[in-house]
Amino acid sequence: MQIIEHQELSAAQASITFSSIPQTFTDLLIVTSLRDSGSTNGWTNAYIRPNGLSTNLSTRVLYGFSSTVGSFSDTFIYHETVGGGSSANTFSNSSIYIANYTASAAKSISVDTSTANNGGNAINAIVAGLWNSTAAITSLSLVAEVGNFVQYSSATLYGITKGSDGTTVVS
Amino acid sequence: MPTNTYTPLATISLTGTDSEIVFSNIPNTYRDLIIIASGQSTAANANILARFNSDSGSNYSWVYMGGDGSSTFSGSSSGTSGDWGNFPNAQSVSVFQIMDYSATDKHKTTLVRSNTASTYAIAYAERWASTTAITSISLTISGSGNSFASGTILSLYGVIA
Amino acid sequence: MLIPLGILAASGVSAGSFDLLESQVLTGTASSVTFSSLSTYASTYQHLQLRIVTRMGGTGGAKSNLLRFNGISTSSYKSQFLLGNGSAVSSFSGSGTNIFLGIGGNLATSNRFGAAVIDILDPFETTKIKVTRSLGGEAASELTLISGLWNSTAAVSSITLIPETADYQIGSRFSLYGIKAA
Repeated sequence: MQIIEHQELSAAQASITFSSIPQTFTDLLIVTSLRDSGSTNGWTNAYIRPNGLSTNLSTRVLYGFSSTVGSFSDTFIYHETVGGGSSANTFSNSSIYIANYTASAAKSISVDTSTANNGGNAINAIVAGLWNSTAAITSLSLVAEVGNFVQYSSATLYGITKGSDGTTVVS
Repeated sequence: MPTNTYTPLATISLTGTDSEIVFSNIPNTYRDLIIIASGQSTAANANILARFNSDSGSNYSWVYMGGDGSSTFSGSSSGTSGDWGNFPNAQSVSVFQIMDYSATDKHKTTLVRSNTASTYAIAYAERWASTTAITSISLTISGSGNSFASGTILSLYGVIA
Repeated sequence: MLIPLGILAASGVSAGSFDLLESQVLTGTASSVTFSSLSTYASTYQHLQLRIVTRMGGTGGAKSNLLRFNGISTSSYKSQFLLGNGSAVSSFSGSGTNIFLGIGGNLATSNRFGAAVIDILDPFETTKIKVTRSLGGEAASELTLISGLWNSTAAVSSITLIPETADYQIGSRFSLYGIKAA
């Protein structure tokens, strides 16, 4: 697993973009710590946009907040940020795993997304995502649904490369 | 002294269908194994089944929770293979974390995240009731005649501890 | 053939960003396990990950692994659970003197352990409340995705893991990993 790029915002910004992603890895892992500038006491969406696109995306979600659980599907990939009306200095904690991001096949995505909030509700969700495109992912944007991502919001992009140790056999 | 880890051990990229994928000769020098399965099977309603060390006894059990897009569900079961989650004939990615696989003082726990955007998002906790160190892992698709589809990639990584 | 690090560096490829920092495997029972002096890692690592496989004393129902930062045992923690118990999915929260991480095994069944993977993002930053995300479970009982909050912006200097009941048993394993961002 190898760091590609880490971004931590020095000022509020509507999105975080990893551009010119090297095409030399097998999978991508992104970990995110986000907070928006809105007034929601809870969470809002942080849209995942492969190659900056909002089309051909789908999601299926199991979520729980407070004492409520549910499941839904939609045409974006579910991934949360802490809303700006939540307890101060609190950011989300999520991981996004994108398999075979350079393949000429649809891209499957696994997301575990959690928020926290000392003054209100927080949410956990496990997410199955899909970008139904045969294009390689060359950039990835995280876009705030509400306002901007605030200062200190961060996202870190890693590349993971498959291979062999010369000992283990697979058949 | 920090030690770099998350080491690629083996990988297979299918150029045709395959009914069984076996990782064998797994060294015992790591602590955890991680398998990434990306692709699909040949069946509309199918799961990945797992066996360790060719054990076909009733030594596998699991608990799971998931969402199908409208309802939540949770269940538990046991059998002669571990049920490692939905892997239908639609693009999917599954992450399997086999914890303490080389330990000989405990049963083996595997944490599973199974993701198919057109069907389910599911998490599992699995147990193989054996204290034997894992040296091989067999993965198949549930249902008679079903296989991993061409284009599916399965990769194994080792994590030291 | 091992590739010398110098060649990797010259090619612009780092040697990898996921490092084992410390690991403890119990050879006797323990009432807690602590990773301390973590500030020594602050200049190199951006994130931390714990990987634990645990068994506790007692034979009753499922009991949790608990976490405290910096030895703080005041009521400054909060956890939000997404839980599957084999029958239904539930969600609930709780506040108290620990973060919950998911359950371990116990003495009810031989060799029964539970496991969890815990991600702690930006633990050394003093601009953020500390938030954990834990995926874990034990097949005979339940599994959970839990978010945890420690209501402090202090940099993490230690992590203590505590069994909710009795002591951690022999064979319980606690491994701390650092994840670089440069």
